[in-house]
Amino acid sequence: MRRVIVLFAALGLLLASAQVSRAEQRRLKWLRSVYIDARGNGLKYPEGIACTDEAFVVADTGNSRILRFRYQGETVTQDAEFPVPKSSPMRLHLNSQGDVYFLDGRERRIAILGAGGEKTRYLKPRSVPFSTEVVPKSFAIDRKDQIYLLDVLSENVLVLDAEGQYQRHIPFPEDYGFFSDLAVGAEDTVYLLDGVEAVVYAAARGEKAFSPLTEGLKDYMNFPTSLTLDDGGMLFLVDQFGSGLALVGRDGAFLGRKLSLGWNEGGLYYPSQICISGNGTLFVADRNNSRVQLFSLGEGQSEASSEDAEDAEPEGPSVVPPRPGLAPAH
Amino acid sequence: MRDSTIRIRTQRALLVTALLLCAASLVGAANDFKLKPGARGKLCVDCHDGFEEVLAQPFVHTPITEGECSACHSPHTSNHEMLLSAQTGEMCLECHDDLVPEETQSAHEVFVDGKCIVCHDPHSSENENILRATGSALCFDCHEEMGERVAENDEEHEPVTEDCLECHNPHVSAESTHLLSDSEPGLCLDCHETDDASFAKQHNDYPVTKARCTACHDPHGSNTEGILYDNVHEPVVEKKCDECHEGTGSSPFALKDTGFELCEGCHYEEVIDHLNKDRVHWPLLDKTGCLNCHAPHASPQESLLKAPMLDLCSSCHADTVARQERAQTEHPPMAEGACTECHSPHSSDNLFLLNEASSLDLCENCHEWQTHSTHPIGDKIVDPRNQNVTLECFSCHRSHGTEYEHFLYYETTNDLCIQCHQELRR
Repeated sequence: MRRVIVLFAALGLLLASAQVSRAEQRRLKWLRSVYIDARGNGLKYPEGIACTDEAFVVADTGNSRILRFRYQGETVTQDAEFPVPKSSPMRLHLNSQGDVYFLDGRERRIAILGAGGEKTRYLKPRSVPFSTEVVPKSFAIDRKDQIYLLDVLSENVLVLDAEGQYQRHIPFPEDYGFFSDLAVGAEDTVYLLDGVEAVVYAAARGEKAFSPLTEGLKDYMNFPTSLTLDDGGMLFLVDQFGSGLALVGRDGAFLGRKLSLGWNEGGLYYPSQICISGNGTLFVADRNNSRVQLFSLGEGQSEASSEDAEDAEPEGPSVVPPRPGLAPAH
Repeated sequence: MRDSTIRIRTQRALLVTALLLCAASLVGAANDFKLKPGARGKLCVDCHDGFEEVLAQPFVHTPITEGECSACHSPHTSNHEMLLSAQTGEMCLECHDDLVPEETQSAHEVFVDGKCIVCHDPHSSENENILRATGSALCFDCHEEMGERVAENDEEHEPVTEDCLECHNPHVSAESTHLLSDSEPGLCLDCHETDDASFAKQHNDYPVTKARCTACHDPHGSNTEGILYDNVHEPVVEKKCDECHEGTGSSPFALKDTGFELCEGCHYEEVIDHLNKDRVHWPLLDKTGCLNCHAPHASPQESLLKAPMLDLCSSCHADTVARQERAQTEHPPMAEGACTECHSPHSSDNLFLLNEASSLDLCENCHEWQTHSTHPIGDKIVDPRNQNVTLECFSCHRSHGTEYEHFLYYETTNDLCIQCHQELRR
């Protein structure tokens, strides 16, 4: 009897671990690419993308404009175009009202575009206690429309309310390389991405300092520049120089790479930003391919799927740095 | 009960056997190779003639003076060259274990690699510590470039021409980086008097005895008076330290501003030009600003760079530099560390901070042939794989290198061509 109980317990553990492992994987399936606007004009080096369950907004950087598209399944229609002349729109996010916030690379400021296309205004951080000037390398917006600025000048993450009023700050950790991006999780955890060292730091709600979530992941990626979370809290790093995505679990464990260098559908060429909608669509601002790509995102491993033929795992040239212990690829 | 008794007895028997074997091996070690009494080194010299000259040298390795050739060599067989009984480094440390302190700040590569015989003759030498040569000459055998530079310097730092060990430890340093035997400025102050008036005057009365001397001075000598590095920042030449530093109060070294704004006062037009572009190299905008890449006082590098360009760029873009190191084909600007041949390090309106918007214009600066003989490329040639992309140099080549020849993305020309010419796929 005892043996039977032990056997069942072991079987239970095995099944549970298989479930966890499956939940800790993500499967990407290419849906479609968007190359042109409603007038047939091509996108040019799009760097930013933000999304909801019905729409996605693109920073069409090379054309100095913001485009908004509606989508349902694989059907995509453009419904708005907002020219932003003399701007270089880069990283992009939406607030709960649908207002578009984008980092203007030329001005190094956060510009705000009303959901109805109201005139662009700039976010003015107010009452920051230690600085009159802010240089945002990137930013994020949480569910309450609080804005998180990655301020490389003061070396802090500044938390502002929707009007730009200072709320609090979290100082950068010591001995970092250079911070490329940040993201805010559903539980208000702030994640910070060191692109040079390929380390993700985290500060949970209420914490006043960042601590490393991951070890240096340089063995697995080239130069991650952007960070996004899905609803399950999994971190998606855009390895721009490695033309792919790297997945990191909530516990900081590296879980694998997705997508790779390529020009055909499903391939990436210096991607810039991704967005994951609540309904499980992953959007990629595929910058140097001058297009946006849509993928469906599900749990489980692509490799185990019966739909392998449709899976977005194109064969591409090697871009991943050699793993330790392996001979360099020549 | 009976079973367990047998098991215990068996275990005891095995234990006793193991102990006996250990004891036997220890006895063997004490009486290596069962040599005849008095034989030892003498036996070896009988065959290895010419060894008398080795023994006649003023400095002989202790085991040899004691006739213990087998302290290092196995007389019968070995897995190591010269019948050595172990790898050189490991073997040397068996006796010289005092050379490795518990904590080290820096270590000599040859020492770490166990290549002791690069500097030491394992048998004998006319030099102390059985070194192969004396003074700096020994070091310059490997550090050839440094030797040449030191020989050409107008302004000598005397210890460098005499003996590098005046400042450096040969094996490891527990005290400092670069194998220095002490950290700065303590190391310098061991020789240099600082309490006279001329020293204070030379340094504008700044309390430099608490600062890092090598921020301005080249410890290996230079061609600039006062062995300043060969490229000196103008305010330092003119002794206008207060252009940047507070100069007074309790923190005279405190800077008057942070980031690029410190430099903007003099380099206004350059800074404005850099900032007036679509893309800025972000480190320029952080708290450290220009000093992320430039030395504020003096530097052996042009443009006052903090380090040779490739080292400097690879401190952040290590993956890109490593890519070139792995590449089958060398791209000369990268191999030579001339990143600015293609990139604008401060800012640019172009992707990747390139100097030109089009790769055709960029590559043409060196590869003139492509203007008259090439696969159709240019703004009017659409990439068959992607309607929004036109064919350019980067469509086929990755300029920092790939694992394939000519920094192509694919292993064979055929693999590359069929990406577009699918009708030719076999």
